[in-house]
Amino acid sequence: MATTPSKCHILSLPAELQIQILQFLPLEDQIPASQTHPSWSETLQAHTSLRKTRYTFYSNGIGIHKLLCQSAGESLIFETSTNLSSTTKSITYKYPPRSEYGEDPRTETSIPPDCPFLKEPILYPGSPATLTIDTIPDRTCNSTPPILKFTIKENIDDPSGLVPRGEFTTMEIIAVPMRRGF
Amino acid sequence: MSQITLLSSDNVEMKVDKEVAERSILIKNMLEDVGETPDQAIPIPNVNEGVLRKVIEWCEHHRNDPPPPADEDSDSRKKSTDIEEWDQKFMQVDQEMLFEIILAANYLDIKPLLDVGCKTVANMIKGKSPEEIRKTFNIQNDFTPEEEDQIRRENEWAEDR
Repeated sequence: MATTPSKCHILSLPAELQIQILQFLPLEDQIPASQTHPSWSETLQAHTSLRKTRYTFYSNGIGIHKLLCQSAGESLIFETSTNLSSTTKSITYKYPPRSEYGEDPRTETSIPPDCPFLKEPILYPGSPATLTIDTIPDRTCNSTPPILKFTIKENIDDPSGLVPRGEFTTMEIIAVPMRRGF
Repeated sequence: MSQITLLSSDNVEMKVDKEVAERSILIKNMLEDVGETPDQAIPIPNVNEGVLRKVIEWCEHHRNDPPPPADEDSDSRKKSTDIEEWDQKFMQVDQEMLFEIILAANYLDIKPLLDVGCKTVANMIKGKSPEEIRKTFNIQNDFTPEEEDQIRRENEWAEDR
């Protein structure tokens, strides 16, 4: 591929087409893409259609960020590296088996602490659910972040019970936090 | 088989089967509005000869494809970046041509070609580090060290919780 400057540069494509390209990237490739250029970082964060690709949506309309969980019932799919200094701290996101992504040999992706997606809400805005977070006392090492229990509870405002329930009414995820503001 | 003539932005005329040209929704709608096969060349002002030939080549190959599913936002379309073999070979062009094809497919409203183009670019991004992506697309690193530092500071979790 040509690396010489061309009049038709990827960043000079209309925003709408850049969005269409970025839409084809799974989360693990959106992370390095967001660090490539400020405009991509902004595009990836700002556009609803792209933001939605980073959430898993369940039949009850609840969307949960993929950096927290891949699917209901799977827990602790990412973990932090405990022996790194504060400046080089990285987070390893462990993927479930990669069959749906084809032959990509990588099974782990390192998430840098400046990854903008870590600041996104865990529940997709408007999800009919409430999130509570409890700290599980950490017995191992003081320098690691605490282990948290996320409880996502479906909002049930139909006392008659006639509204069909989704795939889950309560989901619990045990995870190490990588997000600010807890 | 009725044929129509397309006129590229650099004034080159190209004869194509109507059926092939109608892979472009823009041209299809235009022809429907006119109601009959026009005698005059249809100007395609945004697309030059080289790119138009490439686009027509794609349309020729895909002339009998079933129409794409009506559901615009179907998830399966977005998730998979699989590209059929012929299209992969077709897209082995330099980056400038690749982007020109994407722009032309967007302008001419040829959704499946636009998808193939965008998937091709997405596949060039996949599996790469930020530095490798910048190199691939010749992107300047416009993050200032201050900015990178700022982001890093903001995202550090409390050391002494």
